[in-house]
Amino acid sequence: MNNLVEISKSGIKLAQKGLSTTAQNITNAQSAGYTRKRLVSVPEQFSSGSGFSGLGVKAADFDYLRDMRTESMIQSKHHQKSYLEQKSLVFSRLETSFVSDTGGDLDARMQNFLQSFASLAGSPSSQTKKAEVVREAQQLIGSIQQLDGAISQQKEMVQEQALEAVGQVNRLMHDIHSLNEPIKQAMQRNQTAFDLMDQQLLKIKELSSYLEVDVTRQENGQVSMHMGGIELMGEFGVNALRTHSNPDGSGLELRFQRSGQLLSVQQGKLGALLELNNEDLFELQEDLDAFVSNIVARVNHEHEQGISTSDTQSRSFFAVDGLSAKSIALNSELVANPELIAVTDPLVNSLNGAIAQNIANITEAKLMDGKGPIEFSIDFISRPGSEVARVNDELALRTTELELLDAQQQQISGVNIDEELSNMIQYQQAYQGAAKVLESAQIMYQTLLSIMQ
Amino acid sequence: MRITQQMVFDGFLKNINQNRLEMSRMQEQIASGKKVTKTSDSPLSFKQARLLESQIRDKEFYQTQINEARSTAQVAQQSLDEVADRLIEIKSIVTRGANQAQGAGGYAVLAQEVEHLRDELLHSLNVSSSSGYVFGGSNQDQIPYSTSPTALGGVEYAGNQLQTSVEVENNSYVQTTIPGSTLRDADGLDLFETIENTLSALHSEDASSLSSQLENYDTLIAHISDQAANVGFELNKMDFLEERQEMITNTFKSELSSLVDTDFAETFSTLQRTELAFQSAMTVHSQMMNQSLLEYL
Repeated sequence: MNNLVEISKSGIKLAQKGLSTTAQNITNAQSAGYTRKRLVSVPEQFSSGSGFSGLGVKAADFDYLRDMRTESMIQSKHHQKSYLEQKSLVFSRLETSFVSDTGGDLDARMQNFLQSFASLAGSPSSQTKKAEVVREAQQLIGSIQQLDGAISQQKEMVQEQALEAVGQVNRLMHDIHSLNEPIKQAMQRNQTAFDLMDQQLLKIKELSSYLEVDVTRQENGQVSMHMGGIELMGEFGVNALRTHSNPDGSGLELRFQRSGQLLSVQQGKLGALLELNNEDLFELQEDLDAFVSNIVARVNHEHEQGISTSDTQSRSFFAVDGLSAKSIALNSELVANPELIAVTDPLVNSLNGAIAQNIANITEAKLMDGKGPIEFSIDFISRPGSEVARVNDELALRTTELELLDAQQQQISGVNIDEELSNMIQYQQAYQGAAKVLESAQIMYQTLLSIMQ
Repeated sequence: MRITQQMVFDGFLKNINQNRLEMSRMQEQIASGKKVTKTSDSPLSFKQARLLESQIRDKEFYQTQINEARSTAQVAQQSLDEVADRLIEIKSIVTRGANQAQGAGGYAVLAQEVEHLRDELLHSLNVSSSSGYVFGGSNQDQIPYSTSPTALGGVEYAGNQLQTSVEVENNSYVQTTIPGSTLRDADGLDLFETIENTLSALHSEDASSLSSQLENYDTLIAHISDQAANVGFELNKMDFLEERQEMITNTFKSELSSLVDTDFAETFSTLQRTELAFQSAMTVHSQMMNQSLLEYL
């Protein structure tokens, strides 16, 4: 008879435990990174002389319903997506600075500048046209410096972001590491550490948006992380990172704080920031400087061949030391007195617009990679936008892949309210059933007692 | 397959966002009238459009050059017509002086008329357009002709021998003016020297000398008419080039429009389709989210 009470008590206990699991699942249905739990029950029995007898039911374990292979793929897609998002963001900002819909971009400025010389060639003594040449040249310089300023501004922002990102990576690694010990201890005590594991996975997911890490979970529940064969985090602690600027100022590197060893990062937000700083923005600035140097040299060469209507002195059109986008400037003498613009070929010994026409004809010269100045200008201002389009196409693919993987993970670890409500009914009924058995046992006891009285 | 509420909600959000993005893109295209406003909209179309815009700017620049050159050439032609008219008038005076005996002071009156006509002629040759003096060669800032007792024919030329040429198409130039030195020289016969000789003959009342000068005026009138015809030829060339450039510009503009302008019919229909998809997604979602076991408990 005592057996009956124990069996129904175990049923009541299990139903309570099941109901609390269901309640936990339902209330955390929207919690980020939450993994649903499932109570696993087994019958409790013992062998007696006449065979096996039931002793009720017991909770054997809780299932942690998350597929770690899918999780690893999600992390991998996550750093690819973050890499593309960061690139798209920076190139979008640059595109806004490079291209306007008002028509005053580098291509138009360059064309207007060269056309102002063609116009001057037709009226070589016109003061108005010389003033126009100076005005157009200043507009062109303004446009070039605005582009250079936009690139420099993005470079500064990227460097600041890289510093912040490294700080965040170090913080995340410490957070992940600090969760290792409680998980290990809980597992040693045969307790569940699922919520801690969920928290740790969330942090790992966040970390994987910064750089590509290989995560290994050991049998004792602790995780270690590697990158390119180097241990970032393990039992020893955290191998923290720092940024390092090359002495020549050309690039930004990632090194370990303790050993100073170089770490190559290709993916994730951090990979994108380093690539943007060391390659993309660097190349843009380098190409703009090369273009400026080319144009300045060409125009100056032609200009120095000629003479103005005021004197016979040979002069450069642009300042001779202004061979970069930052330093390009007009010859100050011409700004003060546009009459000094060379228009005439001195060999002709009379006023003509030959030199002005020669400068105007630079429009047909192949200056950069076989491209003329206008074609190059269009190509240059289009570069950030083209990158945005390319990166966004790839980003759409990665996002779709990630959504599919997330959906796959959700199928396993996500909470289905209907399913949980159905479980709730089951546990409720199981509870009622077990209570009924207990009640019947009590009645039976009372029946027995009344006979004895 | 297990479907969780989160999956349904994520799918709904994804579709709603996609539809909203598409609708915002369509609205922007309709409002701005452009389907390509920045490179990332379509890198290839953007680059092609910018190249076309650059070619259109080129053609528009050449049209401005043509307009400027035409204005100068028209002034030159009008001025040359005036010069030819003045020479015809002088020739008529010379004929009168050579054929009819003039009364007392008659030659002096004729000389006065010739002097007056020479001043008018000088005025015509010093004409200027928006680019500067028309007959000063490339030296358009300085008045080309001025009287000087020591100069040939009493008129000094301050310009040069160069013709100003204006680029009106890629590597194609038109001459808008004639240097004053070419204008006054008709195969060795100087315009102002001839007039000065006429004035001396009139002052000395030398009818036979006047008679011998008639042929010179024919040569001068023919020379000026030839120069006017050359200018006319350049004007015709400009008209032809302008027409051609207008045609090319229109073709470029139409090509540009097809690259970057909104196709309103297509965009409106896409917008309607997207709106319908958006509304359907909202309706289906609100219905689906109400379907739960919770409703039956």
